[in-house]
Amino acid sequence: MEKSNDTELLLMLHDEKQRRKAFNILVEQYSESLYWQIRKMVLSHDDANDILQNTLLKSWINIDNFRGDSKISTWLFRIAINETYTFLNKEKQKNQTNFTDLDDAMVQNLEGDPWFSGDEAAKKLQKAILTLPDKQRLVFNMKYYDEMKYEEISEVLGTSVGALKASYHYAVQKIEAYLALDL
Amino acid sequence: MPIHNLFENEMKQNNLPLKEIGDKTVFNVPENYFVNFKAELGKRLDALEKGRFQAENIAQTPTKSKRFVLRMETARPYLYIAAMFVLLLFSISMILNYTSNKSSSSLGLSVESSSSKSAIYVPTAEDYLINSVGTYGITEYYLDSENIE
Repeated sequence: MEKSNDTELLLMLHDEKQRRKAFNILVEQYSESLYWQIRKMVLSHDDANDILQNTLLKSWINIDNFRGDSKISTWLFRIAINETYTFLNKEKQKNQTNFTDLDDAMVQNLEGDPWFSGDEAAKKLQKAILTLPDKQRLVFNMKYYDEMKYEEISEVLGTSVGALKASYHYAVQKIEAYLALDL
Repeated sequence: MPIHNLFENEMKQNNLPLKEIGDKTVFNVPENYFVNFKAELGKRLDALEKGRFQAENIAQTPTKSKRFVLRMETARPYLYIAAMFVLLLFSISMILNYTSNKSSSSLGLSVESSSSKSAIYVPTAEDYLINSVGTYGITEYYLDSENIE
């Protein structure tokens, strides 16, 4: 995930004169990977776009608070994850008031989504992934799709490697069970 | 062997349906999305910065009440000096009054007593006689032969 010299970029970000230029570099480097993480969680392109914008705007506002204790990528991923959780919780609340299930609503949206090109099997996999709790879904996406190392996931989520391995294992089991039922 | 290694070995053997589906992303984005995204974000950043600049300006521009407070703040030392000056003058005049009263009373020339004398008329015995007898009675008294010896 680390693409450029973090220290150099951080110095530029903390310099008022170079801040905007450095932020453009940051956006160039990380927006795509952030987008895909968010997209896999919310499924809809429009929602992912909104969350990504909010994530980067929040990071811009809070640059002064970031002292380089972690990698820039980790910091950005944490903001993106928080924004995604906030969005999902709001959506859950909305759906609760409408007496509908968020997972069902997300799958239904997927059916008519022009930016989804998966076949039936891929749709079923998305349905299966949606049965997982949010954090387990995130772990599954990071490992299964992005092939991130457990150590990297641990750094982003602040969870131990052992717990992540167990979480991923159970996620795979649940998905397999779901697919076995449906396929 | 740690428990998570057991999990991994187990997964390698059992994730057949997942393998069949594959891990290719099935999501797409509009054409030139990431290029356009940067431009769109740039606009939002400009708006944010403009808004922040305006907000800072608003915060720095004092309101009517704040302006009054600021004026009061600048005028405060001058007001204190003026108040001190007035107090000083008052005390000096009081001291001067006190000392002059004391000196006049010690000489027996009270201002109050002299003024009270001129203000209150004290009748004499002659006045009393004129008032009670009248001028006619006095003339008769002197013209009465019996009274002239």
